[in-house]
Amino acid sequence: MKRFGFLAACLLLLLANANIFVRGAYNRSGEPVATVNLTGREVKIGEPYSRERNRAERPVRVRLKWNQQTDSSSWFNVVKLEAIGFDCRVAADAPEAKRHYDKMRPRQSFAVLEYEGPAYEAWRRETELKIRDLEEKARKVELTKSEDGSLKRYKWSLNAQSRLCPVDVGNDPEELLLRHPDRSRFIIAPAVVEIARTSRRDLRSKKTTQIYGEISHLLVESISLSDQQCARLEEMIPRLQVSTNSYGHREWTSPQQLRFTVCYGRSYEPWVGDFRFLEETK
Amino acid sequence: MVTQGRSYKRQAQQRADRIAAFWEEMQCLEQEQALTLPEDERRVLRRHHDQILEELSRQFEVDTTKVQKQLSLGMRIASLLGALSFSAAVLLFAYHFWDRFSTAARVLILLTAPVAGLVAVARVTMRERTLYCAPMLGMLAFTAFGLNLALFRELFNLTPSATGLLALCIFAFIVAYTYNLRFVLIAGIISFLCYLSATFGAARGVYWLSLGQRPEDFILAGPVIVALSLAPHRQYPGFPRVYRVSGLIAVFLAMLFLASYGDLSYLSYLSWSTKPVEYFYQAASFVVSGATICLGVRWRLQDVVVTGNVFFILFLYTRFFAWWWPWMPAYLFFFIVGVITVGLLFYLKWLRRFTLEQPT
Repeated sequence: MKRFGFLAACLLLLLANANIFVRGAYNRSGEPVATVNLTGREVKIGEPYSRERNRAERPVRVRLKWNQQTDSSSWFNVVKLEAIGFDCRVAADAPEAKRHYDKMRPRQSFAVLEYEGPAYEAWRRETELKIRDLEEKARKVELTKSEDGSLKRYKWSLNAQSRLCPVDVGNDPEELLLRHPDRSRFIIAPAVVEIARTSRRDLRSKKTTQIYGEISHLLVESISLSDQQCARLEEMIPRLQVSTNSYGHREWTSPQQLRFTVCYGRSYEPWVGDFRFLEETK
Repeated sequence: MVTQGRSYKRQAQQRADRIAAFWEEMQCLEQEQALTLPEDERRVLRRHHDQILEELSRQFEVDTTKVQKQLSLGMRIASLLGALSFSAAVLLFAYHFWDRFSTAARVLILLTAPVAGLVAVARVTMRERTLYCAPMLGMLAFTAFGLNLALFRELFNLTPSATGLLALCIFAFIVAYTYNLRFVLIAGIISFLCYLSATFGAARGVYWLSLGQRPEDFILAGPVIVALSLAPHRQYPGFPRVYRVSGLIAVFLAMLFLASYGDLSYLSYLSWSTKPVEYFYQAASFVVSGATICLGVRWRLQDVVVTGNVFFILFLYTRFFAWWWPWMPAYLFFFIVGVITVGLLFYLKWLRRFTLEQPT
């Protein structure tokens, strides 16, 4: 019994690990479904932790950053929510709507992220408009502390915020691939989506309530690097400048100098294909 | 066989307890002058019992005195704490130093750690007659396997899934049944409960890591765990109790949550508003815990009676707090709680007498 149990436990360990290896190999076999060139704005390499030396933790993994400030209510509507599996039969302004939508749990689906496309442009224009409004106001009156903070944050976001914006969702990644065929601009990744409900007042002060979806997070946001990639990145890190942003966090000043090629394989799981440091843009 | 040895050890401990009780009673009878054994017979009997105790102690490491029993209990508690501490140490070590190792070293550590844990358990169980170190090593092997799955997934950037919980659960059950380890069995039961909850959710399209957001999953899974105690466990005398208590705790904890947070219930999908759901579970928690106590008394299962009692009282005090604390003066609240506690004492006293009157 003891020998049998020991062997059974070892066999289980072997099978579980073989399953992981096979899944990993399958994902990277064949042509990647997406190969996107990103900058340090979209791929985070960890926080600089030493004030004396521009050092970071050993960069064994990087983190995919996507723009969470974009407004998804314009495209992630009730039709898409229902296609994913949310029950949206109750009207957004019905009396029982709050109870109905509050009990909805997040669902697993696939998100489409677009790199430097119309969604990012729209967000950039909107942010520039907000900056202009605040600067105009600053010329007339003194800004409050919170307005001043907002202005700094908007300016910072314009230069540092990720240009990877969510533009679509769906349960069938193949279908999403057909809808967004440009493999160098669109990433399809497993994600967790949730329902949101917001009330606004229009010009006539009439309250309108809207139901829309939001991407909570990508299921794989942290991407492990190989030993060689890790060593190369470690060499590059001292060449990056460090500053303190408007939130008080220390960050790399010119993340655009780093260029990453991120690939997504057959299981829609990522890996870093390559990266380089652009001296000329310094 | 370890498992058979454990079964025999239980019988040996019962015999040693009977002998100790016999001599204690004999001393009382002699003091009351109700029975006095002739000195030579007494000496022969004492020598016979001493020989038996020595043999039992040598073969099965049974506790022959009260001090030994207390020390054994202390060692079991230390073993539990050690198991938890070592598992936490392994987890924290992995997260603290992990990034400093090369990929090859990481793969090697992840592959060998669970196997090393298993080998250590196998070797220790061969040497230990009473398992104090084996549960610690069993938990270490379980933690190492959990880390193996989590960190390999991270290494290959794979999407997390509930299947890992199933693999963990099977691993824990194999180790627990092979080496008769109750701590590892508890870890396996927790993994099983989480897996079931995650799978129920995933079947409805809900993100699997939202497990626990529908506590009724555990109300469904709890009886399955309790039912496992009915399977024959001749060589694993402690396991049925673990199944019963774990299953009941799963059900009662879920009810405790639902009695306060009705919006987490599936019933809220059936156009029930939150309050009726909460009232339903408040009533159900008393009915179920009361029924558990009755069944425990009827089937003479002390662990079931204790679990039922603990949760009955917990449900009661939670309700008192929810109903009265916000508006009642504090002195009145504690006075009423005190009165009810006295009432509970009388009830427990009646229950105790009732159990004593039951034929053994």
